[in-house]
Amino acid sequence: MMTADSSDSMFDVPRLLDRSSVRPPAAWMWPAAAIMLAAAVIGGIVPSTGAIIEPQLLVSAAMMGLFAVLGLGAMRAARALAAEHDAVRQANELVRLRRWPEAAAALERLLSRPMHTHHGRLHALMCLGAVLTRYHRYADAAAVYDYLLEQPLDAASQHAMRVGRAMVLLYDDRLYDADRAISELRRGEMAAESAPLALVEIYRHVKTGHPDDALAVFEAKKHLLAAQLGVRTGDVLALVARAHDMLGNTDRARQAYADATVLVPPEELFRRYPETAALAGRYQAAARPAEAA
Amino acid sequence: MNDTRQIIARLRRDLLLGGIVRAALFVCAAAALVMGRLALPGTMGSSVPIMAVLTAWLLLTYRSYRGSRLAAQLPALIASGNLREAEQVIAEALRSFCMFRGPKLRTLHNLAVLRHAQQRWGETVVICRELLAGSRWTDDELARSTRVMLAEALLEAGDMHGVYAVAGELCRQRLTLDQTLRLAVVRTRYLAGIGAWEPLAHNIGRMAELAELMDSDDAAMVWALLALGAMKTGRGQWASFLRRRAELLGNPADMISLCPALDHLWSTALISQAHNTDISSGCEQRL
Repeated sequence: MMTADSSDSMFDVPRLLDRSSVRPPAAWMWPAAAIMLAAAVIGGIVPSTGAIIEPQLLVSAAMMGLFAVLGLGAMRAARALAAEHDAVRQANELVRLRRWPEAAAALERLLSRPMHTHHGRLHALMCLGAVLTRYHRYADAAAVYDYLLEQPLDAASQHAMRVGRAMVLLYDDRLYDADRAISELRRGEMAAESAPLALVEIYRHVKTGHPDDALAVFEAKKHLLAAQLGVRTGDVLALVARAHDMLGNTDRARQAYADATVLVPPEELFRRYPETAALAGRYQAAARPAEAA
Repeated sequence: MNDTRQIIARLRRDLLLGGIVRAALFVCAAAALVMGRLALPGTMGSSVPIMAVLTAWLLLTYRSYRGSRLAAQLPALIASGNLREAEQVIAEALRSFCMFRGPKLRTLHNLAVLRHAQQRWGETVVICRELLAGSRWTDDELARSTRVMLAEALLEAGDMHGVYAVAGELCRQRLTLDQTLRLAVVRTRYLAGIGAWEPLAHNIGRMAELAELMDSDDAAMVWALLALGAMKTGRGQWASFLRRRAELLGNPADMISLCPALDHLWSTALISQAHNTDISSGCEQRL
């Protein structure tokens, strides 16, 4: 498993942002098309001479050749696009499978050379943000999210990037910046129905020692959590357990912690949210079957 | 269903027409070359006819591209739930002329996705089968994605033999992660549907982990069915662990309405809970 230190040498974020800039489409296509047209016009004007090898035939052959070259060029470009699409999809799958070292290597390869499409590049950069966060490279992850937020994104992606950025700022203890980022998020049109935003807010309140506020957000948004967060609902439940624990509600803390650890193993929760490590030993984690442990 | 059959008939006709146009253009280009070689001195030769053929090819390609551009917005429309608009775009894309097979079949694939989203399973099955019959000329990715959708539609339509055949073919192919997850849901529901509890509970840890990557409803359903399989095969710890997971992400009543066999999981759980409550209340009374 790659550590945070070993990933330091792997990602030079400004270099990757620079090198992955989209390559403009091949500039030779239009001149080639113009030459083909000119050849056709010339071939049409020059009359037939009756010789064995007529100039017209040569022009026709040249035209067909050029047409074939254009076709092959287009085919090669299409193959390159398909290969890039596959590479981005695979990197995304590796991130989802939490195979971080392989995801890091795939993204390093992908972003170290000019990419063919803006869409593919943005997706690769979103994956890079997740990998950098996993390796605790918070400043670099924030830089990637800042860069992405300057790009034209649809509303849902923009909201997801803002949430990712706010979480990274919280992890990095940049509480003032995180507070501003959360305030911006709350003004967005997706704020009212966003479970990821609820997770960020609950974490902020737990981190800054406001368990009442954390529980208030949980009560207001709990109907959204399972549907939007899936198994990451365990993260919210662990933070809720910590909030109850801070308030001395031990029974509720015990129940929330047991539910959280049904969904996410305790050690993973403690890694993601060091504040929840205080729950270890005080409350019983859910019993996992031996094969799942 | 009649609409779908008409659409498929029209598509077959359009594919045939596109093939004839392509063949005609090739024949014209070859004829222009030959006639140019045989042309008498002082005539225009082959360049002008070839230019005419190339121009016709480019114009028809552009016209075909228009249909593809229409179809390109379909996945986003369907994903965002704009099914009515998607229906209109598909109708327009299928009506427009296209010289090539690929874009037409991709539009039909989008129609299958739309019917799947509308839960019109019978029509989804018909379209998917048509696509698979015609996909030997198109990319494997389209065929794989169509097979996954076909397996889901057959499962919903209750055709277990069909599910077995299609899922068997998919198991031999290299799938994307999303396709693997969708197939895992189909496999779990299929095995539960035919009461194959031992195969269902086999490799239960890996399946439970895979379900963590699914969206909430699918994950809850898979965990619930695995819990049922675990219960039926005497893996009590797995059964209670996965049942609790399913309860945290899904609503048992909804899951039971989709898969009535799950009633047994929760009724047994309630009996067991009631038994435990009796025991604990008994203990409290003794204390």
